[in-house]
Amino acid sequence: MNPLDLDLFALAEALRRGELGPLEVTRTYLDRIQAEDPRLGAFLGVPAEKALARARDLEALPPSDRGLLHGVPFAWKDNLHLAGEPLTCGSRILQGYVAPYTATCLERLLAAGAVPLGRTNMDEFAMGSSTETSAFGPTRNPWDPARVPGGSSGGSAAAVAARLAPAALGSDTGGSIRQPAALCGITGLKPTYGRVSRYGLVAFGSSLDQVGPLCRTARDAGLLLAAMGGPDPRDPTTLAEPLPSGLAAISPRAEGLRLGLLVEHMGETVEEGVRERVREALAVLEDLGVQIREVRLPLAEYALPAYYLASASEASSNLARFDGIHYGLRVDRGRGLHALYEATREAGFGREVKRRILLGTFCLSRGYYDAWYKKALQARTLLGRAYEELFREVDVLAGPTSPHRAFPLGEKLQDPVQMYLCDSLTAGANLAGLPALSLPCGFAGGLPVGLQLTGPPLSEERLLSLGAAFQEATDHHLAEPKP
Amino acid sequence: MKRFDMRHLASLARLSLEREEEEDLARDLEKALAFFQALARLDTEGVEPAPHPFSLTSRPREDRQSPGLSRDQALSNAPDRDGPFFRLPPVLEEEPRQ
Repeated sequence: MNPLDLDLFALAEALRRGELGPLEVTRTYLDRIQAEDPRLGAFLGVPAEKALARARDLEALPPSDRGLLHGVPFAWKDNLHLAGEPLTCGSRILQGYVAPYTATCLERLLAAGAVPLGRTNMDEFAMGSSTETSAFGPTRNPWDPARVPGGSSGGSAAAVAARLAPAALGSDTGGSIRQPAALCGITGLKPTYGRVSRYGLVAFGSSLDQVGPLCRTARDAGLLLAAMGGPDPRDPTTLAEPLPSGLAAISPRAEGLRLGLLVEHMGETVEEGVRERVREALAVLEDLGVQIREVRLPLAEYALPAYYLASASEASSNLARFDGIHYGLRVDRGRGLHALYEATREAGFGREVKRRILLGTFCLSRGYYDAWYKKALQARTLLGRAYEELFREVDVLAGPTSPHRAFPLGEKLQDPVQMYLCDSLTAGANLAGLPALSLPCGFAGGLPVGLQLTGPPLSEERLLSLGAAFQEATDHHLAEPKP
Repeated sequence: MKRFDMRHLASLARLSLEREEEEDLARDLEKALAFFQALARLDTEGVEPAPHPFSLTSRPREDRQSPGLSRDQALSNAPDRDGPFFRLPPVLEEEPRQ
């Protein structure tokens, strides 16, 4: 049995039953990373010796003590704290920073027996849609190394697509799990806001950020969410509702669900090949007994501006903590405290991070607050109500995850507005706090296309069951890029 | 018409920008605002703003003592320290800011 051929769900089963051992599986993945990652740049750090030591410890556990994820290796986005490991957020300003504590989501995966493989590359502070704004260089798309993997969780997506890890954690503020999952041909879930603790996640837009899994299948995503989600006293914004018991072993279910195709997400700005694959996917779902109709969300066009203004405002405040005093980079030219702040931030932040900080500072500044920041939050109220109304008529909303397939490196880097448009179909779910799932639904011109399913708050199990039914009927999620 | 004063914004954001970078960023910001300006078309008269996706009720945790970071852990990433303290450049001797 080759561990690389198993999705996370099957791998976890084989490890729990003792058909595979933690050491063998961890070694296989570490070897694979060593051989393949130099051409992809998915990882920023791989503490191989620690992973092997942990796998060895797990080998010694009696079967009765094996957790849900016993011996399952995983990668994590480099904005999540794991005690004793460096954390960079893809930024020079966190140079030399070593995590003094562990994020709740990682702590829970460890408690379930999982083995941390390495930290994955990302757009600096998760600001970007291509992983090109990382201070440590871009990650390449395993389907075509001349193209981006999407972002900001591009390292996580590329690692899973190239079989360098069975799963990886990412964070999603406006599409940062779903869009790279779509561009790399894998499954990605952004849970309901508050489903997964943000304790130990470096904040970008605190009212939008959510941690979630990137993996091969909907079943994998369910198992990971079951292991890491749920209320956490250390994050008061986590929701009190317990996780549904079915998450850890998702069963396919499609029959009788009412699905609404979002007309506004199928317009001219979406590549034709993407629209075709989405229509084909809906035809498959219809054959499975899903009732499909078209629905309208006229406010859809306001999601992107509202998202950017709100997230940049929150970011400008959150990133004030990077001042060269308590941790990370300090540039001190002996000209006093204010000069130290400014010199440190000037040297430590990249261009896109400065753009967002300045945009947010503008929105929050005297005289502009009402017209920009408050306006964005009012749009958010209206958008939330519009989603609520739609979910009285349908159980799930569907459309493409990304308006286009993976684009060539450098194509959008000099034109921020073009890059921002990458989030046009995903940002709505963050503003409204809704769970949303991206599933691979085929290829156009050799590049993967993603189908996005969005549900009402706390409907992860419904989305994943529908995803599992789709993946039972199709084999898009089994496609593997050639090395 | 200039929508913003870049110097002022950079100062509020504690960024010291080089001249060329300042011009580039001002152009980018203007473009982004022109694009996001679309929001102005939306009628939001009397609509409550939503700072969070759901109306959150604050749930304080139980008031129980639990271990936090030790002083050494908290200082472990300090760029400069002096025993149990973060070391900073002089604050009070500084020239007053405008």
